[in-house]
Amino acid sequence: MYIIIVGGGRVGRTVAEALLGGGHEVLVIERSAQKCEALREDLGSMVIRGDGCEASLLADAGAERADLFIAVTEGDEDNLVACQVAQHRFKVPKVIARVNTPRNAEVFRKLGISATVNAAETLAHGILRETRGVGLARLAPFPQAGMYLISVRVPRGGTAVGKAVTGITMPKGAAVTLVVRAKGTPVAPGPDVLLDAEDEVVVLAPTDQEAAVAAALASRPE
Amino acid sequence: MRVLIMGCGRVGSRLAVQMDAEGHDVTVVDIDPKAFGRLPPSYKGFTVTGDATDAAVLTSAGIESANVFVAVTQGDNRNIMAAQVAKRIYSVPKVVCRIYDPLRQEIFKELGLQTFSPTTVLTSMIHDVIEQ
Repeated sequence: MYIIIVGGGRVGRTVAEALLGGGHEVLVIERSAQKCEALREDLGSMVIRGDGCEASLLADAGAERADLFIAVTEGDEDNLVACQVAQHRFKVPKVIARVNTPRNAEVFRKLGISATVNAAETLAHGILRETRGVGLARLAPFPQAGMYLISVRVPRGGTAVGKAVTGITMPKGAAVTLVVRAKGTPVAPGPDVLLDAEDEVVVLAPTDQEAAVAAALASRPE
Repeated sequence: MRVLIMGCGRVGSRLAVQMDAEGHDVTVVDIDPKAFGRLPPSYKGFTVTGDATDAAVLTSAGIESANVFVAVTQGDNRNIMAAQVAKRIYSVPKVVCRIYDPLRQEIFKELGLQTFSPTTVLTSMIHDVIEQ
């Protein structure tokens, strides 16, 4: 694939390196001469200096044959406009924009840029995923459905210990998808799967029901 | 008319004063409160400090009831984003947007924005003077 990345900061560079490693043809467009120089040293010649919103520069960059266009500068308005130019003028089939202000993800969607990545949310998501085993952890978001795949660890002495996983009442809209035994063995939930302390229960739950799921699985007797 | 102007630079402040003097209900938004120094004491409209690409700022500036939205900050992309938000999300009936870059202006005109490029306008005016 031919991929154009606008913004050669830390995010742009990391994405470029990963895509180059995957055997793709990658071009980075960066405004700062200094950053361009550093990128050129590391990535070779596939760096051009300039404004990634400028149609003439994008034409020179061969945007009309790009399969993927990624805008990851620190300016939300710049990322939006670059993606819109790529989408409308150059008919790039897939565009991805970074949003720095979380609220803007919704704005971008309404303006036709559906694939956005929000730095703050992604970082928070990464941190929450690492809380597996401590309590409730978020494994994967499903924003269109308003749901999260979450994991809850059954505590020692908890009310759920010894019960069949199917016998535990889940809040409305939530469903147990997997039980991971303390030793790391995954088992499909069923009436014969009795929960044990330290089991991890993976649940698909509406975002507003996370606390109720945690209460059902991780409560301790009064 | 309720007029919301984004950017209190030379154009924004001048337009605000003119519309205010004509009896319209004017609000000017600028990220830098010092910019409001361009407004004379006779200006009776409102000022709001903040980033007009931020939905919360637009709401407090009364975008929901605005009849006209004008984006004239120094940044083309900022103007383009704010104008699209005003038009497509808040359905403001009349939205005008300044874009210095003629190529970018063309693209967003095709996308349905009412745009002005001072670069194109001035070039053709100067050209006309030369040709006279």
